[in-house]
Amino acid sequence: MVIKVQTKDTGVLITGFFISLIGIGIHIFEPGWIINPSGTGGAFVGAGIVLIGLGIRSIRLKNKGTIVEDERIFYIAEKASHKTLTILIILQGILMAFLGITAFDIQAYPIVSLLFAITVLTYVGFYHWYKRRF
Amino acid sequence: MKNNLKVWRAKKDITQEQLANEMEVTRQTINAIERGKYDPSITLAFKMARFFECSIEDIFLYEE
Repeated sequence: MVIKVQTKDTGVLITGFFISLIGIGIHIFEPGWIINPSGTGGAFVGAGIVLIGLGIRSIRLKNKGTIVEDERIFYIAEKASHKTLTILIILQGILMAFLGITAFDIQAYPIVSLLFAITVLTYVGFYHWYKRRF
Repeated sequence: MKNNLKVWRAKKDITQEQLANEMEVTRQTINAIERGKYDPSITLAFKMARFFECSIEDIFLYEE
């Protein structure tokens, strides 16, 4: 059986591999300039594994002849991205105003993590919502 | 926008999957077009018209 692999998929696999490698490196060597090595390493490994998984899935589907992306999928993704961006701008604006008014002393890491989680959840939520609509 | 894609597909006696493969889109996209949930791009509309050997207006009907 011949497995056809496109340059884009190879790029995704290599990037995933290197990101995982960086994550493992951070986790093992625990550099002093990183505040939370296990968390950072875990995040890198997680992102790398997700990329590798997506790359393998894409290769498998393309080899089966399954069409993964088309104009409707791009339309749905566009709609979901726009809504997510709007919500994030509003949230960040509120956050900036709140921090500016109260001068509340808060750490950046949990706030960035929260914004990251909100971004992912909002996008996935809107993506599935629009997928049912269109 | 209304359409009678289902009728044209029945005339050709092909499944949604077969039409999707011909149009290089997913089966879900053909299903969404047939149900009037999604309006295809002009490129896809032309491809469909060419495939069914008719004009775009024969398949799609624009209503204000």
